[in-house]
Amino acid sequence: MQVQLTWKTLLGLVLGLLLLSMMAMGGCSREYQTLLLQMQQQAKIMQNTSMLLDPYIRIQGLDKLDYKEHCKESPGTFPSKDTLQGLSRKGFLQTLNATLGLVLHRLAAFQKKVPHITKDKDQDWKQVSQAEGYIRGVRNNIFCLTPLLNNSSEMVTPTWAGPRTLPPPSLSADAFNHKLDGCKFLQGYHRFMHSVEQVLSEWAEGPSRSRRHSPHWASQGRAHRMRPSRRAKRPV
Amino acid sequence: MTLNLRTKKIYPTGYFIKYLYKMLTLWTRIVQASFIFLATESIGVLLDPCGHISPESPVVQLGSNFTAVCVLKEKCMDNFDVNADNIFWKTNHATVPKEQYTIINRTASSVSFTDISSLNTQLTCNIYAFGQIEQNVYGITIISGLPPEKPKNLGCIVNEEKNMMCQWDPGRKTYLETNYTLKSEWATEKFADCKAKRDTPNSCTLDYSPVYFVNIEVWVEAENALGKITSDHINFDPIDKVKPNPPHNLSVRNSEELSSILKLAWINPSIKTFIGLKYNIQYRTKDASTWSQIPPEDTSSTRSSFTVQDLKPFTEYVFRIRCMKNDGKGFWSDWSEEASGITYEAKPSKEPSFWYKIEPSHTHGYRPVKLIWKTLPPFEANGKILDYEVTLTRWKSHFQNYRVNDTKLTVNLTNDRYIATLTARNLVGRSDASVLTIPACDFQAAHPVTNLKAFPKDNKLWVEWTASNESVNKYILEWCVLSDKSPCIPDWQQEDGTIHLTYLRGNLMESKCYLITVTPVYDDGPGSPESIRAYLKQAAPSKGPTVRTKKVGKNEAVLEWDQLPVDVQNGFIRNYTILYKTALGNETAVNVNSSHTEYTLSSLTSDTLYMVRMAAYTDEGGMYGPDFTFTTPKFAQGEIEAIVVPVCLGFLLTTLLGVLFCFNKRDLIKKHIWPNVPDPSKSHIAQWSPHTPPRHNFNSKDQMYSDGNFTDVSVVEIEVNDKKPLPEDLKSTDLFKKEKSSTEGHSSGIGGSSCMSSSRPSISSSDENESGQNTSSTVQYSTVVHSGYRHQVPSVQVFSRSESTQPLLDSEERPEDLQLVDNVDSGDGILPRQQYFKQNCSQPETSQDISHFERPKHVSSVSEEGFVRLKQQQISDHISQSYGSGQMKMFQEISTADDFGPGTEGEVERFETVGMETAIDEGMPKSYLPQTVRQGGYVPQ
Repeated sequence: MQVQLTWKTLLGLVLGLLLLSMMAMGGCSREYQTLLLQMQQQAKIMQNTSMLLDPYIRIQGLDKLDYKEHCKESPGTFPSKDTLQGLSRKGFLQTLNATLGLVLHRLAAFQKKVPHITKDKDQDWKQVSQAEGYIRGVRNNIFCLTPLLNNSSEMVTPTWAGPRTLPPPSLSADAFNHKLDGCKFLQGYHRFMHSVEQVLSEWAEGPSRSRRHSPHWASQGRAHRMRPSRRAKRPV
Repeated sequence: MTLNLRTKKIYPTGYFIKYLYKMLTLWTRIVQASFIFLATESIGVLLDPCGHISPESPVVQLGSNFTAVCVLKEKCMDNFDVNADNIFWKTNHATVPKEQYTIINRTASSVSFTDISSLNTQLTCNIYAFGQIEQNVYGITIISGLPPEKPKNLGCIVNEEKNMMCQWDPGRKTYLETNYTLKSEWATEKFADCKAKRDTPNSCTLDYSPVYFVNIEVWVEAENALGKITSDHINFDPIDKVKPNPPHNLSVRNSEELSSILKLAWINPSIKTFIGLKYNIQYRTKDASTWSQIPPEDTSSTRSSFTVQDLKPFTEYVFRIRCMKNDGKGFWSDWSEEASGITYEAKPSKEPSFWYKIEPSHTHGYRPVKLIWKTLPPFEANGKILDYEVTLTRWKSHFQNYRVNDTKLTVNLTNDRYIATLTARNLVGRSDASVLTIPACDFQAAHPVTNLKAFPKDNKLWVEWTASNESVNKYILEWCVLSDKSPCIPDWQQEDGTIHLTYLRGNLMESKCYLITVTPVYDDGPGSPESIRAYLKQAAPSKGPTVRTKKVGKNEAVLEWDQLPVDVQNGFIRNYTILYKTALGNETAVNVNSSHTEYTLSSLTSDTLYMVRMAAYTDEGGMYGPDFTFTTPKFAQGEIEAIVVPVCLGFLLTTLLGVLFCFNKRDLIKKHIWPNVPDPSKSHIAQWSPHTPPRHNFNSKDQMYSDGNFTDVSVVEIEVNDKKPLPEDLKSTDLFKKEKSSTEGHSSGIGGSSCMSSSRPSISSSDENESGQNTSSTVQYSTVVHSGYRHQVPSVQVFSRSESTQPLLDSEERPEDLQLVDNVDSGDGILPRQQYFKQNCSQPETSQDISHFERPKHVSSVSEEGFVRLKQQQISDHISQSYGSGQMKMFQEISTADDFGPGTEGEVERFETVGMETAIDEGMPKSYLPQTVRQGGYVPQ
């Protein structure tokens, strides 16, 4: 999980994603509200530690540990709620997409360390895999929702301006600390998803509550109807 | 060829060589062609075929046209000397008409088919090698079928935590191997294809659970050799297609506070974390089969418990629950496992049915009353009934309380009026009281129900009645099975006073006669009961009636029978049918009303055997009884009497007239048939013996025997004619006759008849004949012996001679007189008679006594033994009495000898025989002079 991404990399990914979305929107919901609700539900699911942190703790043997004491989120690893609320919708989606990409990356690295045969039989590993699928699903919805936010002014709105890099891997060579790092990371992830859910809830409540977020309702439907191709490629 | 060589025919050499050459050529070609053929067919892979067909593996759509081209190779064409003209086609071994061929060039020929309809066709390209040998060049199989239709009605269902299964309608049958592939993708990624199994081409199950809240696009691709087609794409959020797992761990708990509620609790499926759920909750009582459902609006939100209300107390309920996404999208889960619970008890909701019976045994001033009641059904008991409380009130201040666990109570009550109340108690409380008035002894029941009816309907026995004008508290319905074998054991039920139609709630049986009684119950006591009989279901009788004749006449018969026992009736007997017939005649049927027990068959034929059988019918059928036969008499009653009586009267009258006629003509008849016989007593003998005692009056027996005097008449018959000596046996018979005569004491031979002999018909018959012959030629003498009175020797011995041939009528006709004489013989008179007998049978010589003792061997007849003994006894008796002469001494010696020696008998026999032999000794001159009879001896005179 010691991946360090630069802003350029993230921006490149987002732009590439947007470009692709113009070409293929297969499988996307055509309804903004539906997508919004789906993302809300996904965020609600993801904020639940049973989706990822709990299995991780059990897998790593940290379940006898008072993780609330030791697995506290390292500040700055994930954007705060305020930060997210301050972002434009597109910036929010880009930030969310990039953050989830990093989580997936770290999860993939984590899964590589465990023999595959063990993972198939263990319910916790299944849970981790399911969480991974949900994360990909959120990113899919971001892919679907982004074209619907047809606001050029927001396109230039900066995304998350916080720490440009994800926290570096712990310098400690201690395996326990390594596990704790992962635990803290996931703790931050769940908190982050909670914040995302709250932000999305604000979106769902409408423009009156958040003047900054105003999707172009009229254009979204047409955009979907004018989908050039249903073929899509994986954005990652 | 070999065969030809083996034949012994001899051909010319030139001809043979030519023939051999020809055959060799032909066989060479055949072998060559066969080799090529075999090579082509069997090892075509190894050998290079002579040509090929294009297309190689055609798949043709049914109904379409098809053209195949066969191209020959140059080498083969040269070897076999063929070209495209020699090509011919075969489909499934049948030659295709040449009209379908097209010669493309020297090496190629095509064949065309229109409207292919066969699914699999073997198409071969063939040539005639060397112009005459058929040879296959190449073959292909044309496979026909249809392209897949566009799959329709694609739909998916997401089984929570398991998989996603999609179904579709694959369309028509393609007859070809068609692959159906379920494809799915997100906008950002594609998922693995799901290939439908061959046996289920209409569904496919993805072995992973899709991610919720992400739209997925799904479609089906159908592909076979004739084409590929995809279904419409469907795009959905898997959460909207989810079928949740059913709620689990369903539990039911009751409430002591409320007996009408049960609390349910369950654990929701894990998908609850993603979506809101709504539920279906169903329940039923344990014994019911149909479910009731909680209103859906009460269970439209996610929850894990629910309180079911309005339930019956103390009742076991079974529950089940299912759930689905609360917005209605998706599918209902399966039903959960059932769970049951019992509501808490409540006080009995109704009073028990209450009735009474007065037992038959009465003691003075008291009457045993049996109070009976019914257990409350569970839905009215509302709990476990702990006991019943019975209260009896005679006057308003006098109570008697009883706590009973049973459903009956027998109490001795006075003849007064009582009020009985009954309550049932359970854990929670008491029921209302059931009140019953037991009237006083002198109570007169009245006001019965009217129009009482009972009828079966819907397999129940319904009872309907009309109430009287009085206010009725309730009705008591009692019923029992009527049977000749068992007593009527009634069951009963209670109905409210407003009820006029109900059914019997007992376990009723078919084909049984039920006696149903309805008793209205008023304030002051029960009313008059009304009864009716009914069947739940009738059937034909089990047995038929047994018919018999009551009276059989010449032309009619009265049949009678008994009513069938109720146990075999099986229904109401509606009518009887009597079938009767003669042995040869047709059967005649007569229907008789069921109220009758006899019937008169009329117009019968006399002296004829009739067979009768009889059936009893209910509404459901009949049953014949045993056959019965009877025969009509030849004559009617009195007819015989009418014939016999006149005949008898006529006969009687004729007889009477005959008698009268005979009476009138008796003289004439007597003259011819029954001439007058002179009376011996009036004969001249009386004059001939002037001293004949006046007591010889034959006309009066009384006079004859009145003084005990005995007159013995002995007739000695002497044959005048010479006779030949008799054979021995005849002699013995004769002896017997003589003996008989002596046994009788007297013989009679005068005039061919004897007044004594007629009493022994078996012997006298011959005697009579014999005597009859002798009568005319004999001179009869008679000696009238007049014995003295009481052993006194008569002073005068009378001899009389009769010239008459007339039998001595009186004594002849009275054999008893002989008996009398015998008796007299045993007395004093025996000796004279014996002497008299001897006198008749012995020689008139003084030495005769000596002589007959000297001939002991002459005669001995066993049959005479008894008689001899008797005589011996008589003799000895006489001897012992009074005789003291020398002769008597001699008898005494005999008697002594008889007593002490075995030879005595013989001696006596000899003694007897001497006399008899003397009588039959024809050789000796016989004296017919009258003999003087003296006592104690016989001296011929």
